[in-house]
Amino acid sequence: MDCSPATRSIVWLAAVAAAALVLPSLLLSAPEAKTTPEYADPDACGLCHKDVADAAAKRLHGAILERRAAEAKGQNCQTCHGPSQAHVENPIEVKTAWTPELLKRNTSAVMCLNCHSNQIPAISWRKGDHHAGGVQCWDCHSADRPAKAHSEFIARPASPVCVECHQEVEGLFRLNSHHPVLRETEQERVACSDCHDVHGRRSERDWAQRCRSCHLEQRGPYRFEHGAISGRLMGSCLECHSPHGSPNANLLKFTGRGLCLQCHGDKVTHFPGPACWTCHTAVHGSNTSPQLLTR
Amino acid sequence: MRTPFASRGRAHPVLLPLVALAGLALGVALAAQESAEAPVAGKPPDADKGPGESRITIALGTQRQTVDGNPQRYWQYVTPPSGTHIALIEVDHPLNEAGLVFGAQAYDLLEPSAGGVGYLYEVDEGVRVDTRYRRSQFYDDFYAGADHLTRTDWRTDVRWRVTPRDHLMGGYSTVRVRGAEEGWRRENWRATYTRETGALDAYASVNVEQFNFIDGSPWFSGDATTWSVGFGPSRDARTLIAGNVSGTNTNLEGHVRSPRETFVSLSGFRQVTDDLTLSGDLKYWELEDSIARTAYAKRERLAAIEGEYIGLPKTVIRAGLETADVDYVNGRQSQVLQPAVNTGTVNIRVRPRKDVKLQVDLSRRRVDARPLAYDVGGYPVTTLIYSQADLLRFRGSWTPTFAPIGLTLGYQADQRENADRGLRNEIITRDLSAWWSVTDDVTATLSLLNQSYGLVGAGRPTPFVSDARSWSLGAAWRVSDRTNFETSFTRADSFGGIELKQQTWSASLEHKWDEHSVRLGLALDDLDDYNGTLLGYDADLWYAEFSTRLP
Repeated sequence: MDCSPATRSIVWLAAVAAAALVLPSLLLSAPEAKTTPEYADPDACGLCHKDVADAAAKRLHGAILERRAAEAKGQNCQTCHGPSQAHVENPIEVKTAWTPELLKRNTSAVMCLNCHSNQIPAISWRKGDHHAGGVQCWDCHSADRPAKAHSEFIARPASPVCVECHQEVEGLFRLNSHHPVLRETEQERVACSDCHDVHGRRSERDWAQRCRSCHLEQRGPYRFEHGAISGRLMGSCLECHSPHGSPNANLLKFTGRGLCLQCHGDKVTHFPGPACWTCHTAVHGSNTSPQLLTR
Repeated sequence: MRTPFASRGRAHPVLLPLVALAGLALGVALAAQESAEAPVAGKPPDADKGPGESRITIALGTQRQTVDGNPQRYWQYVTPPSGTHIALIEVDHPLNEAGLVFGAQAYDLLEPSAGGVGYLYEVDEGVRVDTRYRRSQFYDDFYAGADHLTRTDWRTDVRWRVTPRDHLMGGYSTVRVRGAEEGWRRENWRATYTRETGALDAYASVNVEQFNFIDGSPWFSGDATTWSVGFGPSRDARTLIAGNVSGTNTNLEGHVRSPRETFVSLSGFRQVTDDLTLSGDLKYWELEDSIARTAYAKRERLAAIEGEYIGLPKTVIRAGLETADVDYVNGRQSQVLQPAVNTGTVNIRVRPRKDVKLQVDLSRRRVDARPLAYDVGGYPVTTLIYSQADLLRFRGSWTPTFAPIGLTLGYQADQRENADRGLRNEIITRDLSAWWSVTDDVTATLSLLNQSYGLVGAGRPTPFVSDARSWSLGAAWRVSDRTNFETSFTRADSFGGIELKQQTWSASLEHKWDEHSVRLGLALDDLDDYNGTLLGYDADLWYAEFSTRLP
């Protein structure tokens, strides 16, 4: 059977991926079992950390653990802080099991996703850009606040938090056209998380679908598609639009027919003057015109 | 920082007050129930209470604006309430003995643009309900006489922990846009059941979307049903595997064809050593019964692998390869072609010193065996698909220990090229941001951004290219423990094909005492349009807001 180069690449990558995932599991499974730490008595933590334990009981996470003691299998504090029998036996030398020092950059994935995995799949988080950048859950979420702050936990305006690290985007949101995200007068009508998967990574193939979740009139399907938008061979909506901000109107990358010339370079002298969409009104796709002249 | 116009949502003029009143009534009832119970002997009176009291916050505001010029352009981004208004009603009930946390917030009640959020969380049964409402009013264009559009979003989500291992999530959302010819409405129902097993989570979900455009619209109304089954990753910190199969069936009114999409994915993650992790993806996507009469992608097979290494001192390195094999029906629908999209990425993050962070991201995407385009006469011409897309991004930050300052520099180059047509375009973005704690009470900030666009091709004139520049200077002064003052000046320019200049200056003063606060503010906004398109305006806005917390 003839295989295209692309198909061969797929087969090769799949084989490497499978080997990379399976072989280490077989080779390294035994040492893991040896290092499984033990849980201490659930009341042991409060003997030394009384203030912390009392305060935790009044917070949402602490209250949940207390009210669901049976489900927590008696782990209590150790549900988040990790199995701590060794720490109880030797508190000076041994930290709790899941301290950042011991787990390096996987703390969030272990501590929080142990319970929240049905909301945020651990595999998405660990493959995501925030995890790669060393961001932990508590850099954005206020897990350690009093229980009353639950409203802030779920309804906190997200975008100002994002800009604390992503300062470059703040400048883009000041340009002539931009999504109404940041400025006081814009009421955060669009939040960063409306487009970005902050707990994972969104591939280019998903952008068109994401844009259409708000811009339904561009949803399609169309009888006559504009090929740039399909998102399989090109970058979908992002080929023409700069979503954070642009010097041009409508978030466009280029002015007038310059937008279309970035692909259709042979149309410089085709009815020169007006912008292309003066005639090609259905630039996103049409159900009536192969040349996208009418919708 | 809460905005003078309320940044966190928008409220239905009827619904949100009802939610707020319901929350208030519930809070009062629970408070009465708590007070009716006799205190336990030997305990202090507040020993069984939660960590906070139920609070009600009310804010009243007034503001005035004058716009000289194009109000449509001004209101495209500025949607303030008009005159005296209820800026905020908030009910916040902390965790009580019954295990309930609830609250409601509503902004700008009775205003054209308004919104809010309500939530209820019951700890013991693990039931959570969130509802959000937002209404936005804006112009669909900038010219005088442009139509008003009103967009309303309402979303409700329910999460129920049926048993410790069974979770049920559901929701309903609707979006409606009214006005002009763009009126449409979308409704969405969704439900997901998740079962935690010993090693993996299994789940099944269904999502029904109905979309309707106004009569006479050229777009198809219809519905799309998506089902999905899969399993999630295990709780093993070192090995994660997830798989999913989903399908979408779309029915279009007045069309005999019903496009069907199928999607299959398998993902794996493995922490090989303490320093090395590997992950991989296999994905398959197929579209059947497409209504497209021109070129379209029918099928895609994708494989990807990525590795991350943190073994070098203070360094994180990520590198990945992805290849996608696409079945592409050509423009005359006479042949199925097989272009391939290959992408490579490298990300390096280094922290050479405690006060320095450096980050470099590189990415290259190549498209091979690109399909030819067809001209209006039906003859094949050179391809329209880019042959290569490159991204280079650098960021560096420095927060020295010897001075209370911070500095961040960024550079990003985004380039695309179609070698067959001799076309290339690029966007170069440079930015700088800095802060300086002048004293313990005064902080100054500066940010600069420059963006340049390039368009290269035979015979290409350049009036189609605009560049952009923006800078902002801000200061915050903590006058006392109760009083804060903030001010900022921002200027943004478009130049080249589009010539615009916008300057905004804002200042606000906030004073708090006991459970009350007062905010006073002023915002001056000046847009100069040198293109003769009459976008310019000169606007002034001032506001005052008083808020108080009731016990």
